[in-house]
Amino acid sequence: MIASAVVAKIHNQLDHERFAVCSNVVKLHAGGRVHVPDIVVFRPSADLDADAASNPVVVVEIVSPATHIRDRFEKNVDYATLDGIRQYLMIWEREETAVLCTRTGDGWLSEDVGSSGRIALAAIGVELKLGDLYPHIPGSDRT
Amino acid sequence: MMLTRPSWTLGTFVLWEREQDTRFEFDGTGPVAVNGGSLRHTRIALSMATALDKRLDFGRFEVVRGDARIIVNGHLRYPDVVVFNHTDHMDADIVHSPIVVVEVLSRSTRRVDQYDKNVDYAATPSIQHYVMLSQTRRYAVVCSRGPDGWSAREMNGDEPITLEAVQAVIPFDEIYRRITFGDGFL
Repeated sequence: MIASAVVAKIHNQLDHERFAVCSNVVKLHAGGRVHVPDIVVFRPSADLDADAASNPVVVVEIVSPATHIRDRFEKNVDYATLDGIRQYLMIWEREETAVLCTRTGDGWLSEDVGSSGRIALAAIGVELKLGDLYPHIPGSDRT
Repeated sequence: MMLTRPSWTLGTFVLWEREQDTRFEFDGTGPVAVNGGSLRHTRIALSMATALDKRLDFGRFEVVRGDARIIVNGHLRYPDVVVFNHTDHMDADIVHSPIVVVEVLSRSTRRVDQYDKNVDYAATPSIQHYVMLSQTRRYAVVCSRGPDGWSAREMNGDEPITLEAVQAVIPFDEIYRRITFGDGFL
C-alpha cells in the first residue's frame, strides 16, 4: 500500500524525459548479492531492451519487521557500493518514520525525516510528504 | 556541530583535528564534534572493552576504549571500542586497520552509527565485525564480513555474541553488568 503510494507520488513529479520508476522488478547486483528493491528510479537507456538495473539513481525500501535488518544494515551497505545510486530512502511500514541516505563522496550521510515530514529526493527532483504515503482511515483523528 | 569552511579533505581535517582541544570526527563534509556519553553509555562500552580484553590474545590484539582514531572509507571516526592488531600499530597515532568496532547507541548518535558508520565499516576490508549495542535493553545488531558479503544479525540477549575473527564469545550478562533497565531512553 505504501509502495504504490510512493510510486504514484514519484511518477507524478518525475521528469519522464530523464527518469523512469518501477517497482519490484529490477535486479540490482551490489555488494556480492542480488537485490530486488521495492522501488527503483533509474535513467532509461536509449536501448529499450537494456536492463533497468544498469542506471539506478534512487532506491526505496519499505521497512517491515520481517525485512528491517536486511533493509537497514545489509542493503544499505550494498547500495552504497553502486556509485550511481545517489539516495537510498527507507520508509517504515508500521510507523510514520523514514530515513534518507544521501551519497557524499565515499559514503552516506543519513538524515531523519523530521517533523516537517518532507523528503527531498534531490537527485531526481522529487519531494515527498511522509504523511501522504500512509493510508488515512476515514473518521480517525489523524491529521 | 558543523563548521563551514570551503572544502575539507581527510588530509586537511587530520592536521586540523590534532590542534584541537576536543575531539571531532570527519564524515566527508566537515568536522563533527564528539560529545561525551552518559554514565550508562560509558559502563556498557567499558564492560564490552573489558570482556574483549580478557579474552583476546594479549600479544596480538589491542583493545582501546574511546580514544582511538580510525580512518575508514575516507572518514575519521572515534569508535566506542576498537580491536586491532597490536604489532601493526606500535607507534601509530591513527589505527588504519581495525578488526572489530563497537558502538553503544544513544539517542543523539544512533542514526549515524546505524547508517553512515555501518557503510564506512563495511567498506573497510580489515573490519570483520561491527557490533551495535542498545542502551535500553539487552539487544545488539552484529554485522560480520563473510563469503556472502556484509551480513547483519539481530541478537536479543539469549545467546552470546560470537566474534569469530578474534575468537571471542561474549555473554550479554557481561556487557550489561551494572545496568538496570527502566522505562524510557536514558
